[in-house]
Amino acid sequence: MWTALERIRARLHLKRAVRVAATLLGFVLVMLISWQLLRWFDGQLPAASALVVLFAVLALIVLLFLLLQTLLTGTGGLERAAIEADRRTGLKNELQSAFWFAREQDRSGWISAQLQRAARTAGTLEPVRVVSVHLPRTGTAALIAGLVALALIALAPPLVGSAGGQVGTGTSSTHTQALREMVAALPDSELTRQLESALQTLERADASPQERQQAMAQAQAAVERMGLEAAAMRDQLYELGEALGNQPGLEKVAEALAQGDAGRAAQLLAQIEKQNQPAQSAEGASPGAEPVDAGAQEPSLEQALLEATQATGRQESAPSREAVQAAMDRLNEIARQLAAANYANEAWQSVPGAQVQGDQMGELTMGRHARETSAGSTPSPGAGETRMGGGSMSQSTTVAQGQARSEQEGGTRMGEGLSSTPADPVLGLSAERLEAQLKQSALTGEAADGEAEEDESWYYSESQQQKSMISRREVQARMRFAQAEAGSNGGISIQHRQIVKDYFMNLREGAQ
Amino acid sequence: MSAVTSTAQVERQIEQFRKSFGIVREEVSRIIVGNDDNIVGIMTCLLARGHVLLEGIPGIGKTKLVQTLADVLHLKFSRIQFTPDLMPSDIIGGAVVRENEAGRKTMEFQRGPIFANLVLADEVNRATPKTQSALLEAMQENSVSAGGQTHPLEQPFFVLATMNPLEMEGTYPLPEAQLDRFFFKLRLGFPSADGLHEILDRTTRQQEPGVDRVLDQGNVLEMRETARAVPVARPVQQYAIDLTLATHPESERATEMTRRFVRFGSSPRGTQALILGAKVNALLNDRVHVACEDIRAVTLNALRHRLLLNFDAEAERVDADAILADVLHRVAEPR
Repeated sequence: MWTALERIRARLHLKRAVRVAATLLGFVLVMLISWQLLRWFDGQLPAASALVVLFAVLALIVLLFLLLQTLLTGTGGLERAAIEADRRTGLKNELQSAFWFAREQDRSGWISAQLQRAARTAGTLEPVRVVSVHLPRTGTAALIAGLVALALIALAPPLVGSAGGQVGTGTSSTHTQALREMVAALPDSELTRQLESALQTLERADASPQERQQAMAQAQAAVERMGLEAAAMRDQLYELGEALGNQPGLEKVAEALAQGDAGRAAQLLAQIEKQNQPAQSAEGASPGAEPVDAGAQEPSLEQALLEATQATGRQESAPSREAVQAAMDRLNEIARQLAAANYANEAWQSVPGAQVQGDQMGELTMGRHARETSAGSTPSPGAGETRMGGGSMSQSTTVAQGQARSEQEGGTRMGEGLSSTPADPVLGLSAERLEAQLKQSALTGEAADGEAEEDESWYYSESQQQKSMISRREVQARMRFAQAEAGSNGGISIQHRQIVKDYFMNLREGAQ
Repeated sequence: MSAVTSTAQVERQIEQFRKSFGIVREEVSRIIVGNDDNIVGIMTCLLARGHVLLEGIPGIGKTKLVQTLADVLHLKFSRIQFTPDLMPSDIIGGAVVRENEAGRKTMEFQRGPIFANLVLADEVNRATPKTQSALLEAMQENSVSAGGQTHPLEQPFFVLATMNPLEMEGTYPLPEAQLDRFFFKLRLGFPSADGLHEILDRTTRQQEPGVDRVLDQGNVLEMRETARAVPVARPVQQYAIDLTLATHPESERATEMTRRFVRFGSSPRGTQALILGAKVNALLNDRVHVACEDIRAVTLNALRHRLLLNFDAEAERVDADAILADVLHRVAEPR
């Protein structure tokens, strides 16, 4: 009996060793899988990373509990072996009782009989069958599943670069390729070099996610800057077009300028110059004309166009041709810059994941470049000039060609909100424009307070004609605004546009 | 050599015990339909030197069972119908004046019906506490004191008391201290439809089946000695103690149910009943040692009448069997 119990005890020791080893292996597996998962996420999915850490901690606690249970239970001595043998083979305390009876000094015939029976029973036991060293099925399945998971994670392609993980960062090879194509197509400038610098960072294999995000933000800032400059140019062209509109013979040039089409304006200017050339050839060179100083500073577009206009009107000779040529060159240059800005904007929009999230953009000030730089201008939410700290709203420059002569002359619109995050709707009177409320109270006498009505009417009164004109202009402005809204390619859904508009309305009223 | 001989004797005794027990059970089963567990329970009490309290509705065969058992065992049988006017002397007997041939009158003790091997105390709860005490004292002491003399009862002395759980009017329920003197409390259930068919077939014909006397007084005493000799290992004994302590609400080992529904737990006599009943059960299962399974097999019969339940248990209709089942479920075998 003792031999059998010794063998069973040895099997119990072996089983405990296997369990401890399996638990330790579980520890290692959990750590490895967690580490691989965190490395795989690479900080891109913080929520998933937190979940991984949470599950890892829970799994480690469970494994620690199992380990302590295994270690504290122990295999014990021969009595433990007897108990385990009884339990596993259904011997009804036979070996356990025999173990106790064997200790007693006084052995009656009954105890001897019991010991003999126990010895016979123990002799028939096969320790290998009594104590199986196999792990429980659940434990084995968990270990296998852990190993498979570890292998899958190790073999899986890095999450950095996959489409799903790159929304908002834009650091995949496809992004880099798209950006590279965009930079190659742009003329050399400071902004292009800025883009090139960002691109180099993105192409670096050892760039950290933070560096990649900064590079993407840098590229976006450069593209937006290009858009702002293009918008300023279109504003300038529009104002020039307005100024040239009353010049005889230059109506088409003025129209093209007002539409922001610098290339067409240059072509029209060239045609006018060609028509005037035969007359100038017949008259010969003017004796009073002075050659253009090659070393003189390049004239501005406005100067060049004014000189060209005056020359064309006066039918002057060589010096005027040079002025016209300078204006044409300047217009062509502007056309190229506008085209480049357009291309950059469209290319940037086509870069997957190029939309920088609101919290990554920081504080942006958007709007027409000229107005932005002018001091004391009223912030216009409609034009996107409201300062917005990195919050729920973001704006990006959008440059688009317009067709009609309107408030958005030149086809330049900026300040389109790209984020689809709706602002909280403003309810009540605050949603109503302040001017409208004032107008209602002052002109139509619809104010709630009668005394205030009397006071305000004392300060201001208008004729019926003025009132109708104001109403008409307001309606026209609303229609133009609605048209511009419908024609833009902004990222705000139709159902949210009203909310965004109301939001900016409210902001504007708050600023005023 | 002596050990080998002794071992062989033990094996023979075990074999003889099982064989005798099997014969008795078989013979009783010729008359009594079903209730095989109760037959085993009564035999266990008889062999463990205990007494049985049988609870069952009238007409279920309690008296027949005891009569049959007495016939099979060839023991002296007497029946006492307990009534409120029954006096102790009606049970234990009394002194009578007897005149001899010389005309001299002497006081002589006239033995009552308790002087038998198998005593059926029918509806024991109908007698007054005084009479009940006389019976229960004899059960405990295995002797009767009358007229300044002690008269030992002939062994085996086995009392089988019955109680009718339906009629409580005009009864004197046994106090807990006296209930504790019964080794087992058995409950006779109503027979099934098949059982009723069998009962009718056996008892409504011209000739009722009879039984043979398969054992005698000496065999029973020998079986009692055999049952007592079965050794119990300390861990198994510890298990019986754990079960007993688990029925005490103030004990650390008490279960939640015990704390809630029990006023007083089992007495040490209950633990003795557990061990002795388990020894008989071990022999019936061809074991030379008592196993925890044997303890569990007799726990309900041995402890159900030793638990004093509180008002909550009555209000929620929780009986002792439910509490003991919970105790058996929660108390683990010693490791």
